Amino acid sequence: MKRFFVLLNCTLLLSILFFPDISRAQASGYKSPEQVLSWIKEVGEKHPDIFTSSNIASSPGDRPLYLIRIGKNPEANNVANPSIFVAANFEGNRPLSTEGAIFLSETILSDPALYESMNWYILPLGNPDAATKFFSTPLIDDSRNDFPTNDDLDDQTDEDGVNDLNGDGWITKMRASHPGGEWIISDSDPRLMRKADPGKGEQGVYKIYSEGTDDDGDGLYNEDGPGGTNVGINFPQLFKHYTADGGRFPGSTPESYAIMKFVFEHPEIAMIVSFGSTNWCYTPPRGGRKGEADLSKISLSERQARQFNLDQTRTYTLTELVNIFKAENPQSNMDESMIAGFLGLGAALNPQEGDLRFYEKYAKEYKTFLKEGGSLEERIEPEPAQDGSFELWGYFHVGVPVFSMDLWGMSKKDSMNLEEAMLAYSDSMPGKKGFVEWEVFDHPTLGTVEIGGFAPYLGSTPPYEWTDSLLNLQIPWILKLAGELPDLHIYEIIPTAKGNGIYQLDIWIENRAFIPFPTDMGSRNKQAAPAILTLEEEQVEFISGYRRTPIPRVAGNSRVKTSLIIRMEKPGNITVKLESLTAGHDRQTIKIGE
Amino acid sequence: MKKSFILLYTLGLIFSGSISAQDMEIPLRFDHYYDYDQLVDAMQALHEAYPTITTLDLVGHSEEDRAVYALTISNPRTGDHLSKPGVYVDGNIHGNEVQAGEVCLYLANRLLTLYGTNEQITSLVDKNSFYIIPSVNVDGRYHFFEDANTSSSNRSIRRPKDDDRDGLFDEDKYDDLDGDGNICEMRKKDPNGTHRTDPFDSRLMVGVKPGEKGEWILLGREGIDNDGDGRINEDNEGYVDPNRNWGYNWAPNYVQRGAGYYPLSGTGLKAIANYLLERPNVIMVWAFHNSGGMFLRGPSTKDEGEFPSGDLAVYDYLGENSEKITPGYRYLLVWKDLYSTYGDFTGFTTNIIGSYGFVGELFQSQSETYSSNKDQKKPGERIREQGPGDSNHQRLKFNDHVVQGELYKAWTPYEHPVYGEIEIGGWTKMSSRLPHPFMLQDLVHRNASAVIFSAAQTPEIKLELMEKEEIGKNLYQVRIRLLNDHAIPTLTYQSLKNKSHRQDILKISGPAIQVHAGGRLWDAHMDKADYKEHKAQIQFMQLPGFGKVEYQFLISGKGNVTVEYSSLKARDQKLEFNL
Repeated sequence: MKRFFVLLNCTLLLSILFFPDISRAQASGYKSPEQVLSWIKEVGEKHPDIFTSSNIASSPGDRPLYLIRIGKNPEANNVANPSIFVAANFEGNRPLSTEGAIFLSETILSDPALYESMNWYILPLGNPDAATKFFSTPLIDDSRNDFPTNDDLDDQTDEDGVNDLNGDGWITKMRASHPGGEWIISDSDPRLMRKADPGKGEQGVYKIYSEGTDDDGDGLYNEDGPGGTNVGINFPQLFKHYTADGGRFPGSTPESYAIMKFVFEHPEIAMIVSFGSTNWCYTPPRGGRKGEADLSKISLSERQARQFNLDQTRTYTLTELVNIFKAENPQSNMDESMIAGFLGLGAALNPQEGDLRFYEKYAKEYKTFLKEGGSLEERIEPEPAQDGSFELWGYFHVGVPVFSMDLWGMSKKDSMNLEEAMLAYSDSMPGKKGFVEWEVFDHPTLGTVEIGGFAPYLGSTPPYEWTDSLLNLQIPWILKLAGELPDLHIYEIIPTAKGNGIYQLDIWIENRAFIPFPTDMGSRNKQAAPAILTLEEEQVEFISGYRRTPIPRVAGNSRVKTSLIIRMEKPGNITVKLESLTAGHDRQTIKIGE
Repeated sequence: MKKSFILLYTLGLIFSGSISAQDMEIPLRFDHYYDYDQLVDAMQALHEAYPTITTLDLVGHSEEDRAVYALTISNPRTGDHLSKPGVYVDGNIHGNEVQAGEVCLYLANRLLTLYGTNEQITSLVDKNSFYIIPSVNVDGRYHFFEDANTSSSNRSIRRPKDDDRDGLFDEDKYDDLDGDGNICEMRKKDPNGTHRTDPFDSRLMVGVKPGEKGEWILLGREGIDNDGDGRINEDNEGYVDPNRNWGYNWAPNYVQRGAGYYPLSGTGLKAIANYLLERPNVIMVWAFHNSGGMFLRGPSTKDEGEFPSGDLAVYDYLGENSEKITPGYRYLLVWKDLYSTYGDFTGFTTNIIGSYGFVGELFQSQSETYSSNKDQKKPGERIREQGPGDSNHQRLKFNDHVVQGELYKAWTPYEHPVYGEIEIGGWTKMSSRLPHPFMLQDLVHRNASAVIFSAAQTPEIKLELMEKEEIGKNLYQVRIRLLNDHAIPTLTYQSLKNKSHRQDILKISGPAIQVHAGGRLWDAHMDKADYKEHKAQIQFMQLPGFGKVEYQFLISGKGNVTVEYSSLKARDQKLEFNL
């Protein structure tokens, strides 16, 4: 069912240059942070009219975060276009995601239709500090930026990182026999390790460490390496304080703070795209988190029940409460979100049901799209979004559709787990260089150990030669989604003469897209700007309603009605204008009074 | 050094042309309020009068580019400011809560003017670093004095928000219709109204009971329908509550109004957060607000769970003493006794900076009395009946006869564009939440004294050699005692629990010694010690308040031995002896 790609023709391109012993960066072809900057400069010079870039933050390692804008000069347009915000590689250890952002940029630049009515903000590299590690020796897979952090809270900072003991240029694992060991050799392959299950009569044999020494002599290995904060999990939704690499508080590191600032300064952002470790195009965002208030079973405190003259012994749905409240206060603009806030129902933890409908629809279509593109193999499920991730923040806090791609996943057969799939992949490569065979090493404090395990980045980063076909296959889906955004129009204006120059105008507004305006989460968090309906004629008296009418919500493929009662001295034209920062503009004129 | 030079230079530029700091006399006076410019002048004047023990730091800028200043009081001759327990005090995070700024100024004024003559104060200043930011919400302070306000408006930072969700931001604020600098109430004569004139005081109104004839309808605060949407004052200034915008346990706006779009989106707040993060020595925090007469402690929400009992003992000790220093004020737990707050300031300082923190809610309107001894209520008695003795009537009499009518505006006719003939009147901007200036001195002194009391309880460590015994050939048993005879420990128990801050470090070293074993000595008589497995020469610990810890080392070698104690929050200590 879950099929993915490693394109057949890719396999043929496979080169033994993958994971050579030296000079990985040049050989690999992936762009280093410096190369990304020169790419930006180069492209900027080539497309001065539509391409700008700005440095929005400096990382703790003093590297710039460059944000690209592709779009027509806003001054030349009297109507502001909606924007799409694309960010890549917040975790820093996904060089492919940066290539994805660059590929997307170049695709957009090559086709004026793609920026005719839309602006693109693209951040190719969200965590430049961590990204340099892919281009350094020894090779280490580490998402932390350069913010000095005393991980083990001792008397020194960043004093005990990993060490390339066997000098092979990679940081892998060490295993050592230990009376307190919890690990044994896996049954599926002697190169893999698994945890012993004492319940089945098994006893652990090995302890596993990352490769290195106890540099500060405190009995711990590699417990306080250089850095830092993983920018990719330094955002506010489900942020957990006091984790190893999440940062001190959401936005504590300049990279994530600058992103939040930028996005909220641009209310015209209609969609967010993330290239990184998750794939919400393929697998909709995960639900099922506990601890969220059930909006279909709300119980009231005694005080609340008394206040609203309700029954404390039963539960209510949120819709029921809104209806009860509105019946008593017909003039009030109380809605579900306000009731939820008032009752202190807390934050949403799970994707809203209405939004899962579009996520599921597009995931299904995406799989068909991939199949048609030639990707036939089953893949390991993409990783779910981590707590505090950029993706979760975009969906829950910004309240726009968020789509993400990991751009490559391990293909698998049958019931393989991730490690088994990685091993099979490594073995399929010439030279089988994705796995370092366990070899005995005389460790200064642990005695005899074996060093071995997967090459860093094996599971996340394909040979560079594959990237073109991978991106060619997948990136166009982002362009397809960009065409699926909420699209508001004035469907019809129905005037009814009430006599004596008085008319009722029923104005129907429709959303031609499947995706609701805004997302259901955007309705709940009230972040999205409403669309504004304006009646333009000056010589009109409003009997009921006002010249400007905010339209907060239009469900997918639906219409909503706004009714105004006006008086016009003489018959004439009525022009109604609809404006949304994210979902388009429309204008319609009708004649009334004839 | 360089930093303060640049700062002085910048300040010189700023102050030229405005009210000169030289006009501000030291000691400062507390029979009036300081507007934003005067507050900055007062800080500058304090700094100029005591240049050796103060620095004036530019912390950052507000949304409207006003400078946020911090005054540091610390004696460099007794050590760098970061080496001493930090006491951070701020106020006026809500723009309208201005007397909090005066409490901060008074504290600074008192510490400085008594330094060198008063023994208690001199010792405090020598042993601690005081970081004082009298006005956090500088734009709010400026606009509270400058513009027409209610006593509660202008809380927000200047970050426009579309409160009524119509696509326009802050477009329908209050309007000072009668131009008197106050936003008061509007009422209109209406025989079918909901209120009638109070029989005891014609300025007040009471709700009509069944069968009674109405006289007035209430129309809310002064204002018009600025945006023509059929509503009045529905999209006021902001609203981003600067005390809901901090990075610990922050929740978005739909969970809690005023959160802002993301943590520390306020520019002045972000700057203050950075200022605090650069001062890990801060162990005691006071944030002053108004009103109600309360000393509030965290946790801010029930979900966070109670503080560890070791911290509760500290809070109780400081809170209960503060209640006595400031009669009438109550020491309360914020989520339980008031309401839950996400992303508040003291949540940040408690959990990210690792400090103890109180919110001081200044002023009780019930202190505005008009009664003689024989009218005094019995303790605990409340007047339930509306009438001449209740607090509304007393406060009006207080206004009439104690402050000569300065706090209440008499109802005055006004022609309103929508409502027609109305009246405007009621309590003014400087009423209700602020003491009249004649009562200010008492308020600032008592609250500053609560701060001073807590500052005297910051940890102070004594390092002692308990014992040095040769227990074998060239093998010594050395016992070290660390004592803290103040109430506040060297690290909060919350920090220990969260593993958010490094513990204190005890290090034993010498050019010719070898440390074989070392660890916490639990019972000196029974010789019970927990030896640390690795690196015995370095030990990590927290020192409780009013308590001690003991360590035992087994050492061989000879000559000089150095024992060094270092702490994030307390002053470092050193001890030397010979083997």
